[in-house]
Amino acid sequence: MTVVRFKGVTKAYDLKAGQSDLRSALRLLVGTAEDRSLFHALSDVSFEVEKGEVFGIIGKNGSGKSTILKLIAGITSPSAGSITVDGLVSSLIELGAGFHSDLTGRENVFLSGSILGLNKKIIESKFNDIIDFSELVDFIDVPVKKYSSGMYARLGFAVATAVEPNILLIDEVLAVGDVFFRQKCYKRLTELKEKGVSIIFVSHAMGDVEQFCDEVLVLDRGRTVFLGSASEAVKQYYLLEHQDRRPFSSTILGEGKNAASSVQMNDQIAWPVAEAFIDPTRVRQVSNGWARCLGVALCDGDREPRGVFQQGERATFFYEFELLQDIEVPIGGIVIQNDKGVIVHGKSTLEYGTEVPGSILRGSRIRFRQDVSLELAIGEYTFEVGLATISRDDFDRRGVLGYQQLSKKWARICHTPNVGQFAVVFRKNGYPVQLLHHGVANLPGSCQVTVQSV
Amino acid sequence: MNRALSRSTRWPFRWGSELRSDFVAFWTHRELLYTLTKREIVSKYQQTFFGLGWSLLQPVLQAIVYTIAFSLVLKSRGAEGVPFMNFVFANLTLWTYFASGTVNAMNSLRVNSGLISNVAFPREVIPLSSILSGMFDFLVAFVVLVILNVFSGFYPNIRFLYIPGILLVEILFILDLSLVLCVLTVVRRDLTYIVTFAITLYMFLSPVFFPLSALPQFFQDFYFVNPMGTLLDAFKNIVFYDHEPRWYALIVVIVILLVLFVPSYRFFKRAERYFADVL
Repeated sequence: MTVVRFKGVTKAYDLKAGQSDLRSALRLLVGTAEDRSLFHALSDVSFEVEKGEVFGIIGKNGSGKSTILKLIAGITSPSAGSITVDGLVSSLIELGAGFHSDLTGRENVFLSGSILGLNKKIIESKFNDIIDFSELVDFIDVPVKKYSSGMYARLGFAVATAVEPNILLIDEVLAVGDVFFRQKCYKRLTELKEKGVSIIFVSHAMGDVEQFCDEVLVLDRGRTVFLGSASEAVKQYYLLEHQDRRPFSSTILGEGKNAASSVQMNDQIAWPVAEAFIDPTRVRQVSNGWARCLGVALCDGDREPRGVFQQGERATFFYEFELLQDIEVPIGGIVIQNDKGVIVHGKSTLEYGTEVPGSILRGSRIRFRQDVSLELAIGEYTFEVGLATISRDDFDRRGVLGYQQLSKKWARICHTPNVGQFAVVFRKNGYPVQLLHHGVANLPGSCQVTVQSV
Repeated sequence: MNRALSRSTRWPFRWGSELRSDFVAFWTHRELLYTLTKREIVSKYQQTFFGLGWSLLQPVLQAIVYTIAFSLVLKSRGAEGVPFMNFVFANLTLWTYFASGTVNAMNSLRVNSGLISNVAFPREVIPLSSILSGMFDFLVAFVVLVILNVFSGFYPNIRFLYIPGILLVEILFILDLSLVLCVLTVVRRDLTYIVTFAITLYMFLSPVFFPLSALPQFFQDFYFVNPMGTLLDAFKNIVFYDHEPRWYALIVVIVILLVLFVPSYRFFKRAERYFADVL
């Protein structure tokens, strides 16, 4: 059952209206603005959200994410296109939205409830649950203007989820809570989803999006860039975010320097047979057009293709890209995700400290071989391979740059979300026991025992 | 894409059923109306020195000033056997509710812009709660009026039961005006000044400082075109003389106000969806 349907929705704001004369002010109310003064917050956006689905919306600031939430909530109306919303919508669009700062926490709970059109009895029946969840029992009779932002978020989240909505809108507000509260929130959201609540989720936390969303819409300046699976959407988002980056050195590539770094690497890696590779035409590629993936293979130590590994066994990933443009330092890596979308491992040449060429010319092929011990929990995994690039200058300073700084320097070129999958199974003859470890990952370490005799 | 076509399919409501679905949506939010009204009353008195005193002080001072001006300086005589002070105070009780109710309701959308741009609910709840919260001031002033009248020998009578009805008509009048005005104020702030001024002018055209019977008979017969005039006259008849209101005028006024309510409400509801964009 579809609970939210957007069909060709456009939202235009008349930037001039209400500023100059009375006519333009009235124009705004009648909705007949001229095109030249219009700002399109959303252009021709269509999507559907099913019952019990978690729908993510991602995009850079000002891409129209919040506008969509406001349209679903009915706070504002579209300029063109149609929107159907079926059910009670509860929203957490802004921190403390709908709260009145002079009222106490308790009064605001009832205010929020009555805004949703719920009567006092219903809210009273949820009241204890709200207090429990928000952990504000000592502060519930304090005016909310004295609350911290974390307390606002807790109360807001508790109210919005306790009222049993059909559709829940969440905009970034979880970011203010501490880790314990966030865990609690995600647990609550999972429960709601299981009950059939549709959750529409705006976030900049790509990990959360990938882990939590069934379907994701990627927006750029009000236009749909991508609508589909979460893992691919996240790649598309990174491409968008990186598209303005110019990962090239300020110095022009010298001829002599160039020749030295263009190494023929094909001979150095023992490559598996062609049949081992996943058909490149079937690989979905998210690329900015600078490179394309020619093939990906997952093999065992003998370069034989494999899909099932024993816990702790060594897997070898082979992957190859063709450059469609000159780049400087390449970065290649893999990412492994479990069945819940959690990234359990991701590592690139940058982190391995692999020796890489300082530049690659258009038309060359670059090959990677990555060996990984699969010390993972028993289960099914997907993986992807990716290619990025960074300028030589920044590459040389990689050791002194902090992670945040460094991550602003590289640009993603080509990614293959969910290109393949594998399973990790119990070892046949494990030493000392069959199970290597439990939990998501094995961590290097040891354990010692002594006994103090009485 | 055909723009004109897409514009007409803006929102899946049909015109005919709009009014009814608007009412239904409003009715489910009656709890919100109550909460907002209460909040408005409480927050008005919470952080002031005199608190409740303001509700008292304003009409009392007003009545004293006007009485000095009219009966002592201008030598206006008392009206129809009622001391001028009592007469003016009674009229001002009803008038102040109208004047401040209209201006407050008109500004209410801007005052509550935080709610409007962040949560969805039928927006008419906001001006209406603003109008209803003014009822508190009216009640305080009314109690003062009754005490004042008792001292002057005018006692409460059974026709006081009409007064809630009169208030209801007054609220309808304020609503008719403010549903349109508050939309216009959203886009044009200076409208507040114009309206405040217009209401002052309107006060002198209404029988606040003179009795309706002071007018020529011709004007008296057609005075129903002025809703406040009709209401003031009815209020005065009840409070001082224990008389029936002029029913024909009152009923004409009610019918006019009810008819005007439909386009006024429609206008408000049509503009409502853009409030969040403008505020």
